Amino acid sequence: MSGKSSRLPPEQRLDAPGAMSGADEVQRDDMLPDASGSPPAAGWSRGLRRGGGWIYARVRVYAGALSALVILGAYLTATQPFFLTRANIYNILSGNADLMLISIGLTFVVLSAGFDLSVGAMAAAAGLAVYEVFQAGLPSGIAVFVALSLGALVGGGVNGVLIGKFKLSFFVVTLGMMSLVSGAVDVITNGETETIGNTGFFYSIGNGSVLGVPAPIWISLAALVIAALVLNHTAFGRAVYAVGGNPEAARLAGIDVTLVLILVYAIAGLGAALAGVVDASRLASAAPSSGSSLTLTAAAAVLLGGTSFFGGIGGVAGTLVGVLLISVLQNGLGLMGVSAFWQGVVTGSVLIAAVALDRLQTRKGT
Amino acid sequence: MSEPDATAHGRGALLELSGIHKRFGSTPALRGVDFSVRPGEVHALLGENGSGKSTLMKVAYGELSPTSGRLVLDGVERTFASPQAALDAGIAAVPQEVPLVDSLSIVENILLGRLPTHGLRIDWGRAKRRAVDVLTMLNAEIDPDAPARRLRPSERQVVAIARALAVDARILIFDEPTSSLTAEHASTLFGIIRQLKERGVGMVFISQRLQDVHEVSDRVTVMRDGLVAGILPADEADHDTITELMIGRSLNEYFHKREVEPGEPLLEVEALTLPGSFEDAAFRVRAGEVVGLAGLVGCGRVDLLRSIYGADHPPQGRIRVSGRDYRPRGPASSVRVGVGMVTGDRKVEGLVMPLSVHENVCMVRNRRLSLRPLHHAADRRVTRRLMQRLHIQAPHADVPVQRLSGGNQQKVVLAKWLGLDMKVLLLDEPTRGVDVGAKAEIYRIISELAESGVGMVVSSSENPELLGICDRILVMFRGRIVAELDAKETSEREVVAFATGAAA
Repeated sequence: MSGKSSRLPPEQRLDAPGAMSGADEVQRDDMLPDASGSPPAAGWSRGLRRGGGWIYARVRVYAGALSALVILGAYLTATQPFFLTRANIYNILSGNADLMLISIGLTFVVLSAGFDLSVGAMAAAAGLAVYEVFQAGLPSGIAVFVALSLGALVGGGVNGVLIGKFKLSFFVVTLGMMSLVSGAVDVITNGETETIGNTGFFYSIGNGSVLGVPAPIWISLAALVIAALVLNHTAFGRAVYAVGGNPEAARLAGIDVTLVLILVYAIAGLGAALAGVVDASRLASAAPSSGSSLTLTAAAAVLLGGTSFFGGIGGVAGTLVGVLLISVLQNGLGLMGVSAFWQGVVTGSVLIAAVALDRLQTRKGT
Repeated sequence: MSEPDATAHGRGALLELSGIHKRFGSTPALRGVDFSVRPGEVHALLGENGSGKSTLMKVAYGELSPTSGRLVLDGVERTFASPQAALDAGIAAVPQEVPLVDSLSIVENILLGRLPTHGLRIDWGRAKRRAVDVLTMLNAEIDPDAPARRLRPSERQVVAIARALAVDARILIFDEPTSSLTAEHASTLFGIIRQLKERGVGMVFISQRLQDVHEVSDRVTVMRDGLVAGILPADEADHDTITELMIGRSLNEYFHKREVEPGEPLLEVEALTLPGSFEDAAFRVRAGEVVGLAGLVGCGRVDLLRSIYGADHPPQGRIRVSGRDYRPRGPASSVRVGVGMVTGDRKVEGLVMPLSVHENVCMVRNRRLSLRPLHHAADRRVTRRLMQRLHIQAPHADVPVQRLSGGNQQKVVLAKWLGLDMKVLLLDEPTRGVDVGAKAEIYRIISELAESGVGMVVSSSENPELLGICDRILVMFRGRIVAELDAKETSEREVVAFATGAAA
């Protein structure tokens, strides 16, 4: 029991703003018609709305996924005694650290109104890069550095430059890159999984723990916090939103749109490479096919988290909710003994339902 | 009830709305409005944004159902559940931005959703004949087989009108049809409207441009605060009367033009040329001066502004800012030397619609891609101060700008550049598509900026506006500056003469 309550905080933290948003939402919808022209309301209620509006504006886009997560969590807690145990929660969070890391990077790209289909392939390539550096007899630190640099360079230097500077379609560029990178990985490995025998620093990335919490969870958490800070509290972060919402307006405001695009694809590559490093360490191997399903699952997580594929709306808090929802869903299905083959069906259904629900809600509001 | 209706406006009406009330939640948008359209009449509907004119028309074409009130069409009381139902009854709306399917042909767009069929097969022959019929009726030379994406804005409107005529609409509601049209295209549209009048079609013409109203309308209804503020024959509807009805106050303070002693030259342009756009432009803007750029759309004045700002291709020639040579390499470099640009089309180039008022206001301030923490508190103070100074009406600073009215959105575009100590501001159509009240406030801000020593170039297609707020007016014709006029001594007639090449 004590284990249970100590595991609650992350969910409670998520729950609180969500509950607040429900009440606020009604108020805001009522207000919409006169938002355009009528004089501002009385001081106190205006202050209330301003404060509430800030929270509301941030939570609204993923309120649906958050409710689903809370309901699902409550249901699994009630029906599956193993669900809310330290071991299982660590298992969920640690096992999906790769998804989390890829999704965080992808969130930047989606916010800029783009997409990166090559992230899964890049994760696999990063694992292979680690393997190759070890083969060359170099230490863990260099292996990780090479893998991460490779991700950021291919993402920013190739994807980002082609899309940002030469204005090529992100779909074509990243589709090509996906094929190119996974093909190259297959050529180098001959399609076989390479075993990585390191037991030092590299091993601890995926298997170590700090203060009793597995390292991948710390890495995800750090990435999440850094991403949230960058997106919300730096000029670069706000520029990502501006470029995604209206690149022409951003350009004419003096923002270097090309550089923003290069950087977001670099961040996506970096996130993917980090995911690949964590996976390679956890599984002590570099598997050519390891990242293939991650790209689309990450896309689903970002979408579920309310980040708009048209750019400019959303953020990593929503992505966290999206990743948790998919992870908990898969974990719950596993606990209930449902075949793994069904997981895709359920995830897809939840994704479509969430987006449809959100759409209906927005339409009602305006 | 029928007595005042008949004398005031109802006699022989095709469409008659009476006692229309509409509430949104607790907010009344319409508070008992009477409105009618006679056959062959153009009835202009004017009012500030938020006055209720759009809401009234949405009631008329079935987009909204009234809270109370009657809608009588051809003497029969009707209620429309949808715009489709209104269209079937003969009431069609021609929206401001015409929604056409760009990839489909003109024929398909005209007959969208009602292509004639022959069994299961579409009867393309009949469809094309029908489309060509209505296009001919409109004297439009448009290739019916071309995809809609090739249409110019005015032609898009013609297609929207054709679409309405293809279903024999007898009432057309135009929502600011000329706001995106050049003068030439607008006069084509007016020609079509006159033809439709002769055919007995009744029309409602929502507009913010008073000269358009004089051009085509028979009667004018002015709305304010959800009520009819006045209804009068078009020939009695002079600019001052209408404006005062719309804003509910006197015009004395409309153009806030205060005399400013010009200071040192801030922007000097010599022999500026951008092949295909403008040639050999030369002018000077001094501190505290407001210089107008007049001319027809396509005369090069927008390109001139944009290239000084570095928005597109760099021009040939010489630009000096505060006496120093300057070569625009992009918006960022221009902002650095103190040249800002209040862009024209706020949806396309001015605002990031899903982002908040605050984010948009601070966008130029925070343009540098730094990873240092933002000064949130300072930014908030700036936004608050500017929202107060420009009277931007929004529930709070975090509301997405897309929820604001056009006038308030335009003020946000302006706010981006205030508080940045710009030396020179280039303004492209600073009051396009905004209501009279917002215009007055934008004029006040321009005047205040001039007083504080900013040099401004204002490009506008509204000549009365340039005459009202500028010190000098440069008139462009086919890429060349053909006249420099003192705003106090010139007239609209003279400006138009130069702009059309008649006086050159």
